[in-house]
Amino acid sequence: MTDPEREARVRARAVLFAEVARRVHANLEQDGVQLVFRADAPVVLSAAYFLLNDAYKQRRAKPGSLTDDHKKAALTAVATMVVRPFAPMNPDAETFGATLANPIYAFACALSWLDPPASARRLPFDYLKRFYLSLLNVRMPSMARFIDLVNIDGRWQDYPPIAMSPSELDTIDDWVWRFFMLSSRKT
Amino acid sequence: MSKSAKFGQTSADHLAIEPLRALKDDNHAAPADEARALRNFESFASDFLDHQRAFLRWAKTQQSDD
Repeated sequence: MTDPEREARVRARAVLFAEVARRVHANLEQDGVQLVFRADAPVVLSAAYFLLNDAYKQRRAKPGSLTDDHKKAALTAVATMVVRPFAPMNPDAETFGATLANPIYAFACALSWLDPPASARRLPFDYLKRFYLSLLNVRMPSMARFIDLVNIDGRWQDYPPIAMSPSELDTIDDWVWRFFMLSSRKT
Repeated sequence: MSKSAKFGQTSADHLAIEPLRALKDDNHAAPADEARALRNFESFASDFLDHQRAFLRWAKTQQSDD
């Protein structure tokens, strides 16, 4: 894939990230949660998604094959928790809502690929809490350098392919499985 | 039954796991369709976001119990 093709793919996906962010941000602000969401966050998120996607598919998919929706959901959730685009407006006074903004956003973006049943989008609170705690624990060391560089100069376009460790591959597989189970959950 | 086998043994070099890891997935979807994903999101956004606000209110009340 050439660089212009890659950039077009990233920008197309960023539209989804931007729209879901707008709705989640507005929703949290209604309860007084004060958050910052950088203007370039959707394209950075989208670039992170495709870095993870390409590395995952290299190990899991036939060359040139497409990604099914549960995997899109999982990669979306993990990419969101790598970038963590929402930050509290006042880091010294981080609220509960600000802490959970990124997991809520990750879940909303991921569910967009699944047209989820009501039972998945209205999980019992106790299970939702555990779901979000799991998202907060997502770590992808292979993406650390990408995040560092974006923080330094904002460039996401030229980053080379990443190589996932077995444990990172397991993390993605685990989230694929969770979203498969969620979307299969009966109302 | 043999008593010589040891419990809790794992394959140190992942001999059993790596071939399984290398199995290719065979379930692949249509090309990514951001417009469809956006329509999906719009279809459940209000319900989902209302639930999140209720969850956050609930979570605040639970913090002292954890």
